[in-house]
Amino acid sequence: MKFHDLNIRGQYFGNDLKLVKEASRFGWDYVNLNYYPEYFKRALDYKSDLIDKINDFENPIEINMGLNIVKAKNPNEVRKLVNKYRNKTSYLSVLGGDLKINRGVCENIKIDVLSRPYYKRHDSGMNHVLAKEAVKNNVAIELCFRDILNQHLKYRANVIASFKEILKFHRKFKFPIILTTDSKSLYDMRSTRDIVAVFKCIGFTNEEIYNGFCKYPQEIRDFNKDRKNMVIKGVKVIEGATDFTDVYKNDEDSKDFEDMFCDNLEESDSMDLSDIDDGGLEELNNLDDIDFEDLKGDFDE
Amino acid sequence: MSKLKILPPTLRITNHYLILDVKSEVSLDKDDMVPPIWDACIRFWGECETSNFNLWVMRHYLVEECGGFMNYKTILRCQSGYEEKVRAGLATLTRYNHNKIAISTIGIAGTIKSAIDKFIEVE
Repeated sequence: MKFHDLNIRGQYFGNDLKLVKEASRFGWDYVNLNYYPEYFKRALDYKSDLIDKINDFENPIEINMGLNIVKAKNPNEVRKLVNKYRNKTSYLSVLGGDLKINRGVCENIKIDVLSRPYYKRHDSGMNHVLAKEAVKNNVAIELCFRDILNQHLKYRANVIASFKEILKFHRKFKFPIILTTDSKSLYDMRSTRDIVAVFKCIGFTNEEIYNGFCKYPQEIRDFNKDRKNMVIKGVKVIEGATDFTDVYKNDEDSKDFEDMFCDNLEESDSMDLSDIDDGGLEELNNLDDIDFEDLKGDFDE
Repeated sequence: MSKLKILPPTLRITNHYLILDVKSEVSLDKDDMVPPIWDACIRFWGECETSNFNLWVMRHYLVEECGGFMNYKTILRCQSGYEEKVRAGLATLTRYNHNKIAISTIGIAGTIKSAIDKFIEVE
């Protein structure tokens, strides 16, 4: 099993390096450093240096950089920011909490993840309507371990209750759930087995934990690799295809296609044209009857 | 005070040993480790469930002191069958006495000796 943590809070080079090192020590295989939009460009500048340093580790891990939109006040603002940054990053998440934003995010196919829909709420921030929209638009819901970690007593119980409610919707509607740590400092980092133990105690099954840490994050990564080629939903540009027949994997398929195409041509050649209704073409044989000026006027119009 | 007679092996509780990686802002000795561990377990699991854990701090080592925090390795005894619950409880600890602390379980061993051999002496 490959453990993915799709949300580690990136800040600056030194801190990011420390976090990735600790993640590597604790058994994570893939880490996604998330930045606020204003710091994202700066982070991309030192990405290659960071990867070089990580390759020197005892257990090198994969990293990527993503974007976390947190300051949007309404769905319209979210939409504008998403359109602005979608092509610049391979991972885009939006912080939830506000019901309108939760809904707007679930309805937007360009967004990968709705992060913490329960944020600063007394309820889970999800309902059956949002769950259906999330399924339809393939938006994953993110549950952060740090929310359990940094809350105490009543508030921690509230967060756990929200997790359970979201899990209930997930079991019914099957929208993707991803589990993350949202680590900001070394004190937030935990080993993979510890995180699994906590989520098991909350009520997640082994399969759900596997999906949350491995399957759905992997799907998001794979989907985003192809995202730039997707024109609209269901239509994808296949790179390197110069001819339509190139998309066929083997010769047999292309042969079938050619045979079918040639057969159709032969059929059309062998047709008896006298059977076709000419739609009164004979009447037009006499060109003197046509008023060309009138026709020209029609074309101009 | 007279001591109780030692129980026969069949009636003894079987234990496992968790190896903890502890990061702390302040220095901690072996006795200082006890309250945060109990506090974390009781907060997360409650008194009734924690009574089954049979927790005891066996060993405590300072590994390194760098970057503004101390890194310790601790061997904690717990009743076999409750390892996952204990590690979940310990993972939820962030602060104790207004000082930052992080406990992560890096291994489980059947005896103290094997715990030291596998996880402490390597370092």
